[in-house]
Amino acid sequence: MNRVATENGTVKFQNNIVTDGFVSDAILLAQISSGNMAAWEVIVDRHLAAVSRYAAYILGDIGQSEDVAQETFIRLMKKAHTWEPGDATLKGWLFKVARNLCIDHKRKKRTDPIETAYDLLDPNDNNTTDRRIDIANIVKTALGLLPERQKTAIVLVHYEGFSGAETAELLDISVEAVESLLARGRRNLRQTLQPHAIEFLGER
Amino acid sequence: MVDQIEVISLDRIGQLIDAYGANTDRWPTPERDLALVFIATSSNAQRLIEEAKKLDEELNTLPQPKLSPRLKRAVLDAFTPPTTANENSGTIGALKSWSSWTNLSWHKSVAAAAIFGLVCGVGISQVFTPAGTTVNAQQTTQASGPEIFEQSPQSGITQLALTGEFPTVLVDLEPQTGDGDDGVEEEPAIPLI
Repeated sequence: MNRVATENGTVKFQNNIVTDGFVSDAILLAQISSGNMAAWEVIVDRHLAAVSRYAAYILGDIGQSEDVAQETFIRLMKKAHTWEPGDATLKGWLFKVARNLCIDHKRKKRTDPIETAYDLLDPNDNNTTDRRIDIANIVKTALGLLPERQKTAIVLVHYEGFSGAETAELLDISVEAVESLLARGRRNLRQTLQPHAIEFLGER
Repeated sequence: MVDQIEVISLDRIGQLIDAYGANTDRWPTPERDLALVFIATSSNAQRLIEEAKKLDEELNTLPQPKLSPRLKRAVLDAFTPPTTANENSGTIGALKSWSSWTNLSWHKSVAAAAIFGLVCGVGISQVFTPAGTTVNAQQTTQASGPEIFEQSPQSGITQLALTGEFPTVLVDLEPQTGDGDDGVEEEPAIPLI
């Protein structure tokens, strides 16, 4: 089995496929389809956290988000040999799959965002206070009430650092349409959060 | 795609703030530099930025979910190197196999003979079934689904073993007790992790 060492984003395979510096996703996928576990580890290190985080923001439930993240990567493993380098990025593909899985989960579970227990906060974190949990719950509920596309656009741009163009590609719409979704989403959030303005004062 | 923006208006600045918020790092690159110059000289634009900051800060109160080590371990452990068997599996592989099978003419003859025999058999059984004869429903159930039902010889419990997203379901074919339990026991879905 190949081993891999990662230092500051650099990768070195130790089975004579030595590559110093950044290894592209396309090369790693080719290695994965050849059975290279080390390449799989690099891809997982590179993308799993973001996919898992995205699903957690969208679903509001850690357990379900882990199911989605795992299923997304299992699909990647099965499809790795069919990957063709082109305009599409692996990051975009992963988020597209995760988004579809999140939609399926929502459809099956019919989770009410208001009733879902808030479990994004780490109870062992000393900064986690009751007040902070309350405020986070308010924001999470407001986010959960948004229509799926508005919520996805907000999560991708605000929390995941996607550009308008990247979000447009993922949602198969124009950049202008993404900006419209974002604007409507932010307006809806403001309206939902407005009654709680006093509770937010101490956090600013 | 816009390569270079030479002019920007307060309306456009307002649109960018409405969409991306106060953090200009999130704004489209081609417009960002010009927008920053505009904002520096426009009190109206600065007011819009301040208003947008409120919502950004509220959104930032939601903590970033952390990657679970358990999830990472599960995903790493899920890695299975591709094998010849895997490559031949799946719908396309099955269709290829079926296609090559059906290209053999003698198989067609055998299949046609089997279908003819089945049709004749059903017809004859209908003609010669004596009046008043009943068909046992339980036997019919067992006979009609041999691929998905597996009869347990000891307990009389039939196990419906479906793969994929369907949970395993146990169906008890013993007589019902009438206590409200419908005899169907559904195991919890096996978690992915």
